[in-house]
Amino acid sequence: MSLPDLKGWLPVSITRHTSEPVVDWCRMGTRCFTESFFDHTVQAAMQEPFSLLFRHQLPLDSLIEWQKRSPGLAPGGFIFHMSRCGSTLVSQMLAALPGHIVLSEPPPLDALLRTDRRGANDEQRIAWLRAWVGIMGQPRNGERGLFVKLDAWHVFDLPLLRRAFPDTPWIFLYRNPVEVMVSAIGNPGMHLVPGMIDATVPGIDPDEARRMPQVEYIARVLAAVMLAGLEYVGSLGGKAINYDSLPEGVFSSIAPHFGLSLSPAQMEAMKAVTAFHAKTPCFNFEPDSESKRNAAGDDVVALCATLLDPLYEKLCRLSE
Amino acid sequence: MVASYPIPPKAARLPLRFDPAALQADLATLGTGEWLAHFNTGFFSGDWSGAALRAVAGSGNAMYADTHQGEFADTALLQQCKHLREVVESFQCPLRSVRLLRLTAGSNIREHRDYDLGYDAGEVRVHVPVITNPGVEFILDGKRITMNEGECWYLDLNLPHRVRNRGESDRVHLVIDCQLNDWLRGMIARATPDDGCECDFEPFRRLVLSEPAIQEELVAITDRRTFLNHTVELGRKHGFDFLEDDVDAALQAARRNWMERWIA
Repeated sequence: MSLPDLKGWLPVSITRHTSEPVVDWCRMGTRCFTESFFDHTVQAAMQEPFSLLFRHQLPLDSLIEWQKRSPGLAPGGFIFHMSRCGSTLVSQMLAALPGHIVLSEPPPLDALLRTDRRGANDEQRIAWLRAWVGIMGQPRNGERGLFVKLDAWHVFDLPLLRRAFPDTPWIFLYRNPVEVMVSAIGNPGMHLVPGMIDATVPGIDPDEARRMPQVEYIARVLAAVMLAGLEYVGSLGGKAINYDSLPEGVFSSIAPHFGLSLSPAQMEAMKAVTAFHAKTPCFNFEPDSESKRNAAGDDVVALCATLLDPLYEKLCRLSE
Repeated sequence: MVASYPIPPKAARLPLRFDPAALQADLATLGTGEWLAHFNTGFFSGDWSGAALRAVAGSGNAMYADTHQGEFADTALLQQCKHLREVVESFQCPLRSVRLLRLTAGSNIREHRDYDLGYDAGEVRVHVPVITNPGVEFILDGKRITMNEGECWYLDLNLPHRVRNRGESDRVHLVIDCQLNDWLRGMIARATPDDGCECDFEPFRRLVLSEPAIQEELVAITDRRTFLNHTVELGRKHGFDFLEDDVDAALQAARRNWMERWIA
């Protein structure tokens, strides 16, 4: 296919509902993905009249064509997680590292994993995923490293992602389930509301899900995520990281696992991030594990005891 | 048996045609005192005014078309305009407001939507151009629709639309608000759909997307006013004839399109 000159343009959005998905390319120039989430940076770019008015809308194969011409960095680490467990803190600390690109929960990657285009098989998906990540890893400011934090439900896609990126080290972040439950009940992520994302959760029947009390549904999804993390950490060579080890665990476990050797100055830059709330950096970070545990109702405690605590204990043993 | 009708297109020419010369003769009999400024003064620049042919007696402004207070009745003006009356009488459906709307040379109605109307809501606005010129640009949902004198048009005015008279003479349309019945549904079903033409901004957009050097001239501008201004200048330099309103409307459409990209 004939492509326009896409130097400085990035595939920031993929609309997958149509039979032929459309890739929205936006002229990002040297703009960095420094916001807590990928889409926040894209939204900021879309505030500018040029980005809004001039976008290339191209088919999926434009990814493969452009990546051939303009390959980028290979991803140096993937962050999987059970949500509400410090993953944004980790991604923001990595983003504070000069010369590194961090993509936090990028919706285009989710769209590629889930596109329902007719005839999309695993091989095709792998080719699109590699192309998209490769393009996003183009050094636009002399960067040397690329990390991707995925959405919580992508832990179910680990086998496919491992096939696409067999050399990329990955971690699975987890946290005391009571604390995650309390946080999730207050403000449930998309995957914790039945039907919000069309990913199927292993072990949960979609019809049953709609009739389930919300608290039970959240617990069952978290159990599925933890179970997948537990299983794949063993079989697909990842590293389980406990929330309680953060932020020191970033230096003692995650950095060596991702092959990073950090200078004292780099470590200082990363530590500066930990003073603030990772998702809303206008607030200072306040430890809340104890208050979250105290806020748990009896139903939450009971669900954790039966469904989640045993998985948590197994993950803790893996991290030792 | 209830007849079923297809969903109407955005714009369609109804199978009705009137003699423009006769309608223009009626128009010539109107005194300057018959024309009232359109009440929506924030919507336009220049002169957009109307003459009421059917209105609600005693309403604050005879130009109000969407009132649900009181009964619409023919005005004395309609009685005196024989040919216009014939047009109005040829509509075999209940009528609400009927107006002549005049957009003088150089005037401009900014992009807006008429939320009170709609095929689904059972209220439809029909346009009959009485006098117009090639410099009139009527743009509906980003596409230019050319309506000629004496024709009769159904338009989905829920969609964003704007009008500009870049010609040398006034443009006057007879605007008839109808309540949908089977007769009108049948007319709309037999109408000739018109997708309209691409606006002059679209080929410019393609040019910019294909030329990194032109992109450089616009990419750094963050202020909206400055951006509109520069885009129009740059367009002119490359032989295009769009104005700031066109770029602004394209920006609005792009924003809607971006916000709605997740909607199937």
